[in-house]
Amino acid sequence: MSAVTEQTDEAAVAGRDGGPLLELRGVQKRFGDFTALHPTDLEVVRGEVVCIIGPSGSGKSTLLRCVNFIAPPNEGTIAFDGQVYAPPVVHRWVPFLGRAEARRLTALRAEIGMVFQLFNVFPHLTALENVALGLRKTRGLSRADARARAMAELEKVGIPEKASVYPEKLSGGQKQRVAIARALALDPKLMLFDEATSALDPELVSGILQIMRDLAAGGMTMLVVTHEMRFALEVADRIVFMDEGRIVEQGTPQSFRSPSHERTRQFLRSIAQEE
Amino acid sequence: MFVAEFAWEIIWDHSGELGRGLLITLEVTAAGFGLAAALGLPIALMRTARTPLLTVPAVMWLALARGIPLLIVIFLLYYSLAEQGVVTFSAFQAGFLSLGLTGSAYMAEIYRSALQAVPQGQSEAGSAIGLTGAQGFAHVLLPQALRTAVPPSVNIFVALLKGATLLSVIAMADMFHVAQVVSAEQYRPFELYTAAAVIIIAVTLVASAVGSIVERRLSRGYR
Amino acid sequence: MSGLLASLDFGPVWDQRERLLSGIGTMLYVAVISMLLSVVGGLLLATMRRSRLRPINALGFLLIQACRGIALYVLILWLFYGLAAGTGIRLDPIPTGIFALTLLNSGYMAEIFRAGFDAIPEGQREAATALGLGPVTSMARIQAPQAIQITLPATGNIFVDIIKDTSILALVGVSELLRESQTWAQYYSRSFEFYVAAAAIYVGVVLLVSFGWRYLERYAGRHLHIEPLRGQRRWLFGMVRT
Repeated sequence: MSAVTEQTDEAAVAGRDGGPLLELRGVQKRFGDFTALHPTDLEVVRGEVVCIIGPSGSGKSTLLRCVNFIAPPNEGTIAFDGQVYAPPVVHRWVPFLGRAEARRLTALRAEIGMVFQLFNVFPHLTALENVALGLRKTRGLSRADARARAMAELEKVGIPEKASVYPEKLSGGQKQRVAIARALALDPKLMLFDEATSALDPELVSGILQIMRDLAAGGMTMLVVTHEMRFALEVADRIVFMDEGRIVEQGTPQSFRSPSHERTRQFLRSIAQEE
Repeated sequence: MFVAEFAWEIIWDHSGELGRGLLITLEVTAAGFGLAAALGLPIALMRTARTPLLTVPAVMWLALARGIPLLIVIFLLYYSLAEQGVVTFSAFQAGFLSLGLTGSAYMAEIYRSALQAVPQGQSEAGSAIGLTGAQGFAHVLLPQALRTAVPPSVNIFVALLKGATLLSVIAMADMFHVAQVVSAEQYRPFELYTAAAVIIIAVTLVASAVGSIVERRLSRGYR
Repeated sequence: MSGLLASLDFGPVWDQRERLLSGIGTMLYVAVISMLLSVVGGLLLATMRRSRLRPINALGFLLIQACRGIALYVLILWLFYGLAAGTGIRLDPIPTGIFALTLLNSGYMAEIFRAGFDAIPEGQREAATALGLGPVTSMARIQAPQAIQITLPATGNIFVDIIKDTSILALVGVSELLRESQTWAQYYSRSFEFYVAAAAIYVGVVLLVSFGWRYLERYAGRHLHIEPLRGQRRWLFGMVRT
């Protein structure tokens, strides 16, 4: 099964079965009567950086959150690293029955890192402890090993001196760095960024974008929902434009200089006006 | 007038007993509060479970614990169970059990809203780093919820303290029991009851004040 | 435990149902009167607190804190036994109970009203003034209805608590539900059955009142759409007062 997307980019690094790292098929998400995400297909190859752009409410975040089942889809399948995951069955009367599936999903999330728009750092833990928690619980490291490793991750994002500081004393940018370190500490195969810079003061945005740039240059597979068009055009291997719960258009940054769909053109125009 | 005849010496003479009575009241309240706090969490979790197998018993418990007056629970535990030969509780045991059982309902509500108050993003972040539900609860949700739960818990403690004043009716050796016994001997109930009343009001006000201070301090420095 | 269940006999409870019913009657009588008086007292104290005259404001504050700090049983004991012995004033148990309940709950109602009035958007008062409505009309037709709607849930909690607290009056001889249960429990030596029955009745009354109160809220707010007080939780069966 090596369905590879048509793209002008280099072939992906050979994965487990040579196929894409991530494959969404027919993934759909509803909230009550409202369909936030219509049946959608998407593939991400190893080492690829895919940026998802689009107006608010277009379903970009919904799509992202389906990937690691933070908000499980209603329909469709998600294949990741050779394994297939389907929407979990809800056992209403005996939740106990769903524990095997829950364990699978937990294992899935251990291989995927996520960075949130609102940071979601743990306020009751220091920066170091934030990063170390996943190492201790998910990776089973000893307390000492976890601390050492966490320290290394904090250095990589540039804030080793803040290790024993609590998040309330950190700036937004520093909090987001902690969040990134926390996610990277688990050596994920895929990193999800959900508008990671949207809640930051403008002068702090570039710092985070630089970290993301370095990450991409290092070969990390990334799925990035963003409003930062310049970043997308510079860093992405592929850009995906979504509107009203559907993928309208996707292609290389070059192809986005002259998009084929009118909606895409409208959207790009509206952003350009802001800048 | 009677004020002139207020026999302060009576209070003074028995201050030791009154003091010990107060201590017992505080002990039974503390024990009852501990029980309520311990019971409240599992009940809150059951109440918010997804399966009716857990929510229904929890709701029933809450209905009973909040609908039955404390005094009846005290009587049931102290008199009725002994009468039926099921188990005989001492006054202290019946006291802290009744406080704990009725208080658990209020603590459950406190835990429930405290857990709800933790932003959803926190659980998501916990899931995103591969924590299981139980791990996320223990390391992310609960620590934050407990901080939110402290101020209202102090209110519950004060309420239990007031409830504990009822325990003299089952002859627990608290201040009012002392007052009753001594006034039976000395025929000066006014002074003793006044003293006991003033003491308990003072303690209650102090506890409430401590609660307000705790509440203010916690909501300031945190987050 | 099997010995317990086998030997239970609720026959005597059924035999004495009339007495128990009269106990329920007394309970409701005391509760309703205390509730009404507490509302009045609470309004009074709340008004004091909103006064711009500092001494009145301060006095209101102190009175409210004092009222809320009272332990009901303590007050009743003191009034009934202590005061009687010290001053020779003999009080009837029911008025004493009503007085004590009113004193305590006026404090709570005052806080509820204060928060309720504060929750009315400031613009309402301004609009009323702008329309040329005097303070009395403004209060009666604009502020009060909204305040009532906002404070109704919390008031319901207080009412439920008052109903439960009437049980304490049994200890000073009022023939309400618990007292009747006690008397007959001792007569038949069947305390378990009678107390369980009394407990069931209390729970039943509390449930009925709680559900009925919901309808009251809906009726009172049929033209309005207002959020009840934050922090005054909608508790189904009663709230702990502090």
